[in-house]
Amino acid sequence: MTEGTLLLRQIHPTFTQNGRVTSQAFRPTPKDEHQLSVDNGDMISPENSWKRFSSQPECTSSGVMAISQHECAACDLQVVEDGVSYPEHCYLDFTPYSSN
Amino acid sequence: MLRIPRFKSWVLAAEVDIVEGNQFQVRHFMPPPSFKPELIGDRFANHEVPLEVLKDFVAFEELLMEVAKLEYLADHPDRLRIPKGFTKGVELRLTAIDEGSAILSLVLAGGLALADTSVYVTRAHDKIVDTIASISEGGTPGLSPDLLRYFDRFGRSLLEGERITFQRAAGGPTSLTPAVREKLLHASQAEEWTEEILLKGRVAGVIVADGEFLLELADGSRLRAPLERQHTETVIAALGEYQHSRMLAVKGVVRKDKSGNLKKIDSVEHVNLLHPLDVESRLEELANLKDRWFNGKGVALDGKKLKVLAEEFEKNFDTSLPLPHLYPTPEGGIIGEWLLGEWAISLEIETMSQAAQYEALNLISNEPTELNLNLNEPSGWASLNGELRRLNSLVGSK
Repeated sequence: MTEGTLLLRQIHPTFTQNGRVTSQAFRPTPKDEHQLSVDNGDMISPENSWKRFSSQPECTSSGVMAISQHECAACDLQVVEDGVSYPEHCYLDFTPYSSN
Repeated sequence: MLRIPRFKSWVLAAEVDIVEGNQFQVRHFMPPPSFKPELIGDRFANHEVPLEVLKDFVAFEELLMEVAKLEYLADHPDRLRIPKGFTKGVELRLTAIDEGSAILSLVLAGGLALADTSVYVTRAHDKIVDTIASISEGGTPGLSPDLLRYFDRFGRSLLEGERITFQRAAGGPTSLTPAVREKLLHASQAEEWTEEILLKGRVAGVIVADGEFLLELADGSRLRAPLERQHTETVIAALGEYQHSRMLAVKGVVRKDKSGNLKKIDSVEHVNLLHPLDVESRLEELANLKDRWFNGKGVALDGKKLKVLAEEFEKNFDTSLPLPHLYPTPEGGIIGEWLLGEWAISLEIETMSQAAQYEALNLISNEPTELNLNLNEPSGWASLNGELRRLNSLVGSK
């Protein structure tokens, strides 16, 4: 992973309105336990990331957005490449921050 | 030269028969029948009646005359048809709106036929009112299915919580409500009936050859609607923004089946192209989310609470300010977001309590402003409006 690596995030259809995406898209929910799932864009294309996600039961995505590794570093957010439960899976660790 | 005014109709007070020589007898001397239905509901406060509700009473008059004719024939089994001119020139007139929620003073007026007709019209009124009472008490209607179909138009403009109350000749008052009307229509054995309704949806197509357009509702179903010339420009504009989910509000009469499924729009009174961020429509859309909506997680939003929020927003939000983008939160709340210049603003609303957390973050300095607001109170909305006005004015000054 490099500074330019894009970390891919699926966008739920209700998280867009009139072409604008909510800030919640890059914020963990309480059930995420401060870990925001992303895919490593060096290992999977946005299209294949979308296909993999959308093939899961109850999962819908209206598109894929990305944040760079550099941007995460600038915000002191650690990117953890855990590879669970598929190789390209990573998460952004919000543990040092409050739920907001 | 002054012309003598000519009356177009009159009320018969007495009819005199010459018996012999200068002997005579008065056959009728009675005031014309009058009825005083009371309209009860918010719209009828202060003795006011929306004009669209008065349309219902045109159907009531037609029903009254039809039942009167049948009552006459029941009294005269030897006659195959009613006398010529039985109802000619006879009509119901609104003479006043009396004090009460709104009490209509309806008087039967007309020509020479009135004296004979009035007896049967009075009986017809009693029979209609008894039918409403019977149906509302779970009984059987005293009118035939054909006559019950007049309730397709009579009572159609009533909203939930409104009613028309009639005094019965014997017994207490009885009321026509939307629910009672539906029972009457079920009893009429009609396969379909109509409702006055406000629908919101996307325009999915225009069928020029048929002079119709397709309104796509939130559940994906599509209704055909007549395309009136005066609505064409607005409907075409909505069609052009179908991909952006631009909503069109359509007020008109919709046809529905016995199960309550909407079949088509019979007539369109008014169309209105809604703002892309129209708050009420967006909240109605989000009210359709079910539990587990967010990728197997996510709590359904409370539709009633969202309706209250939409009403409060309409009442309290400063209309000069930009509208927010609105999104659901997986916890069952709502988040409103604005981007005003270098300020990213969010308002997270806990819908059950209407408690809200306001945060404005300056994207340059990272300086946040945070407030806890109670949107149950006008003061909460005033604080929100004040903060947004302040930041909006900073944008305007740069």
